[in-house]
Amino acid sequence: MFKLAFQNFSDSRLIAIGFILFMITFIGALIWTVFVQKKSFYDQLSHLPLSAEDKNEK
Amino acid sequence: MKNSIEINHRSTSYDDDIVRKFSLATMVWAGVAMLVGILAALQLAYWPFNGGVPWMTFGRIRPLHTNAAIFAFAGNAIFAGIYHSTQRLLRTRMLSDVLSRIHFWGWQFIILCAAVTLPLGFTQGKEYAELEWPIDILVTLVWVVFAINFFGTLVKRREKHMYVAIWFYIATIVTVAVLYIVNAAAIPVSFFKSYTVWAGMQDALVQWWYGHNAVAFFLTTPFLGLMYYYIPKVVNAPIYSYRLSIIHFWALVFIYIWAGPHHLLYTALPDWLQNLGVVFSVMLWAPSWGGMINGLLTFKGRFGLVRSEPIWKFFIAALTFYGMATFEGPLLSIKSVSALGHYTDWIIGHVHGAALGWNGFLIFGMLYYIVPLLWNTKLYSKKLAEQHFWLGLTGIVLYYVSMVVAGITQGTMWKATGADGQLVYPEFIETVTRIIPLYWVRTLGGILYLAGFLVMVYNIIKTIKSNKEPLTDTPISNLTNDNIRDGKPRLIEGYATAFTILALLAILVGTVIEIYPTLNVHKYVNPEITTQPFSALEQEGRDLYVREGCYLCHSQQIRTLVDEKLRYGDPSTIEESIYDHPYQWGSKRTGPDLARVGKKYPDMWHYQHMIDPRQMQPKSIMPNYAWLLKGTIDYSQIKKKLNVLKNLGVPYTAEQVQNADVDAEKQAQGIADELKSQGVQEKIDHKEILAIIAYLQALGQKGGH
Repeated sequence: MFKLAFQNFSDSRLIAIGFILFMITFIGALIWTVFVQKKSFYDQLSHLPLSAEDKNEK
Repeated sequence: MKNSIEINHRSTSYDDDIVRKFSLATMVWAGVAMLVGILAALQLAYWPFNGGVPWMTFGRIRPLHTNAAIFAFAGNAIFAGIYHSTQRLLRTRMLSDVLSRIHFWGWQFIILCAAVTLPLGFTQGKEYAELEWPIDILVTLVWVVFAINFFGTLVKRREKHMYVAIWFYIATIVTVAVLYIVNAAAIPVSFFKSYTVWAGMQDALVQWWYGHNAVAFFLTTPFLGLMYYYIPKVVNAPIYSYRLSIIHFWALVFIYIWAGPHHLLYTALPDWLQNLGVVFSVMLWAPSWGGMINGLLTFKGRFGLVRSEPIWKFFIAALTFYGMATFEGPLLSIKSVSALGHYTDWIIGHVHGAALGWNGFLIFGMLYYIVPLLWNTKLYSKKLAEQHFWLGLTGIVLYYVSMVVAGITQGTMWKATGADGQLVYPEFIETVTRIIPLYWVRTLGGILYLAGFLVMVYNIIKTIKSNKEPLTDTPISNLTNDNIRDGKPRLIEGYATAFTILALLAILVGTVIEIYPTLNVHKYVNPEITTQPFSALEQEGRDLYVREGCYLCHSQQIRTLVDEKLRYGDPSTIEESIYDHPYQWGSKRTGPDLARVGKKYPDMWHYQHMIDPRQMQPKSIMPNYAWLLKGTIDYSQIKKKLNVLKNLGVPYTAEQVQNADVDAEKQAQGIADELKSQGVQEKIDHKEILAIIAYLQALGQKGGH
């Protein structure tokens, strides 16, 4: 079964299909991150390193 | 009472001592890595710089240089930065001070072991993975200690969401573990000798899947994590786009893992794998530049301050070199560009642009930032930091430009054909002597970079000495604001386990698709072609070839390119190296390819060439290997070696294994008698040089094509 699943990995069509599937996933994640999520949440996260922790930090 | 104060102190402060330790170790090992690098560079410009000493010779110290630069210099810096930033981003002390110290001292011990064993010639013969199996086990154990400490800290964190720097650290820890264990898998012959379980094309693929991703997940992802933490800190502004950092992370970890085969273009690696490597390498342009732009734009509106802030200069230059290297990398992975650049010094220039510019400058910027914080003082001299920057930058430019020019010069000379369709430069040595002046320029670049570093060492020592108060740990601020259990919904950034599994999946997809099909290597082998394994003496000679690091200057892989066929003969096949543990295809041609050197010259030629290459080629830059005349062949291990190889699939018969020592001695005696009959006066019976000659004469003579 496992062998059967992998024996065609040198098949360029299968690689193309896999590539397209992952491309769609990537574009989906991109849209979700850029357009769906709230800016305020990311602003809050991006400020995490800025809390002055060290004694002589400005 | 004392114990309860101690426990209270641990729960309310960060462990700064471990960061100090790793920071100091970074500087010590940086000096070692650079000094050894300069010694290696000098030997390429003028070979007698090895002093005639085996353990100081290029083939042995080059692995020391690369291991020291990657695992000692960069490694200690990564750990310093991770221990410093992780505690602050998660607002908690590391899980265990004891584990932190085991990690620190364990890592230094590993580096010491490497520094002793590599020059002595104990090596697995795989680039950046040379360490022998006992040290590999140590590396794995120490890495597991680090992982437990890190993930344990994640579990007890006080900050619900993990900042993007932490993501990069997670990807680093998980992926390096997978890469190291798979690539280092080997069967021991003795305490200092083992054979990799992978062979030939399979080994080449696994090695470059590891090698390329060592760059990706040891020299890139942790450094990006440091970049996402320290640039906002020094600029005192959030990263330009947090959204972009999310895209950057996922795209990078998913795509990077596929790119390894671009190191093997036009070789015997199956075409579909080569093409896959090229496609994903080109795709890497986007996330890499996304990250670089994100870092640089964090300085937006503040670029004027760069003039007066040397630390900013280091960070900006580091990002610029990251951009350059990640533009050049995909460029070099395009097949037609690779045809020119591969095996040349262009690759050395590319690697050093990234290592000295991106990794080095980011480390220096980080050290200039954290050392005054950790020692509760101010930087001794901004002026000295400024001088360090310009010395270092000049050094990198000299190094990079000289090596790119050398590489393109050599690549075009190798390829040049005349109107008659023949090579314009048929003598390989012509393409070597042409670039020697550039080797001197490279050395000068390295010396300038080292000089800048020494200025930093002085500056840091003065900074540390300026602190007159006892060193203490930094108290954790805002201890009561523990938002981890506030009951509010969280995104994936808030679930450490799920996040780690997703990151692991992202790197496993490419790994499985590329490596799994090649496990069944026989699918790619022509059953009508037979390959004979090396004889016992030839195998012994091969081990000596690996010990001396010959693969660092000579390839054993003729690419499917016209000029290579004209120069070396028919392209190499999968079958030819099918029993090679480890593969020796190489990645650089300081000397010519040796895949078909067998029987090209008589034994006497090799004998004289090994003792003094200038006897056969007056302009050769290869060192003398006169110590092969002193070393005696160790026949006692040969049976054991062949037995291990037989268990790994090399088709030795039981009789061949049983008689290995006798057969080896007999073949060695035959070569010795022949040499003596031609006038050799030295005592050569049972000497290592006989085994090397036997091996060189067997190259390309075992069938498989």
